[in-house]
Amino acid sequence: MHIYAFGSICRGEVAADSDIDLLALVKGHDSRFDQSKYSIYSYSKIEQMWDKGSPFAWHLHLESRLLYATNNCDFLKSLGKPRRYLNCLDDCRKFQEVFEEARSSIFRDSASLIFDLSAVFLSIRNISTCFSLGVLGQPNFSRNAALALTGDLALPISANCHRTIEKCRILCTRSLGPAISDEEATKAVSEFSSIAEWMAKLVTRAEQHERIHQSS
Amino acid sequence: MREFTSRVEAQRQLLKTVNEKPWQREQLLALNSQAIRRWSIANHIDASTRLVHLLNDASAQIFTMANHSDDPIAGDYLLTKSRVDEIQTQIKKTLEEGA
Repeated sequence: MHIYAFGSICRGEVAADSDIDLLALVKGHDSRFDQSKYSIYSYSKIEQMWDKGSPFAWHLHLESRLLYATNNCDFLKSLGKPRRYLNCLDDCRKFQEVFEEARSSIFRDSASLIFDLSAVFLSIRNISTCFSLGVLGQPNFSRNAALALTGDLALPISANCHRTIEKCRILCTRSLGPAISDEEATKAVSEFSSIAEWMAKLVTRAEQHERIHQSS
Repeated sequence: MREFTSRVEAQRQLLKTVNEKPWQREQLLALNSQAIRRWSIANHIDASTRLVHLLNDASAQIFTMANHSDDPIAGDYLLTKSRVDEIQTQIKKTLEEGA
């Protein structure tokens, strides 16, 4: 068994609403670990992620600290560097799809509104992380990865909109915070066409990057 | 790639099923144990009711889907997806019966 801390605490980013990300590596089922407190993986699953060069493997490689190991060996360190991340375009398209499905759901009805706004936050953050790793070569795994993109790649939404969808994410994943008002939600949704255009731009850049990479 | 979006969609459909009913204080926001607890406390729903059990069961199944979705063998994923569909039908029936 291995236990690691990863994410914001390893970057020294501490905020009142920050949680502490914990990773447990186990052999088979281990009932001691609460899935709401730990990301639980088998050793073989982690090795597969390293082999695919997945963003989560790079996240752990760059931003994790060993807390406990039954055999005194740092398993993640022993894996070395993950393979190069080659799935950027597919992943960017996947998170664009997550955004579009959330948007369609909101236009259909409001029965999953907060979950859908939370999915929009997830899609924005994750497409930014994948893009920063796969295209820019400067990975950003933070919750605010989208805000770190600059120039013509900057996220064209208001700080209020970003704050609202972030609050929805925290409500859905950790059940923390007050309910979101209808007014807040409506204002956030009114900026969705800007998000759609921005995502299309990232996907186009990822396509161009992949074409250049394939031809070289 | 499809498995990830299917997992999000499965959660969304379950939430829509539950939230079709106008709850007293707050909608169910997500399908994890904290969200289910928050929703049941806010709406004064006893944690021992069939509906809460079904939601916790669905939550566990979706977690299983999360763990299987990247695996090369799709069999386990499909099996769990059908179990989630089954739970959704039971939730619908329980709500219709006035839970």
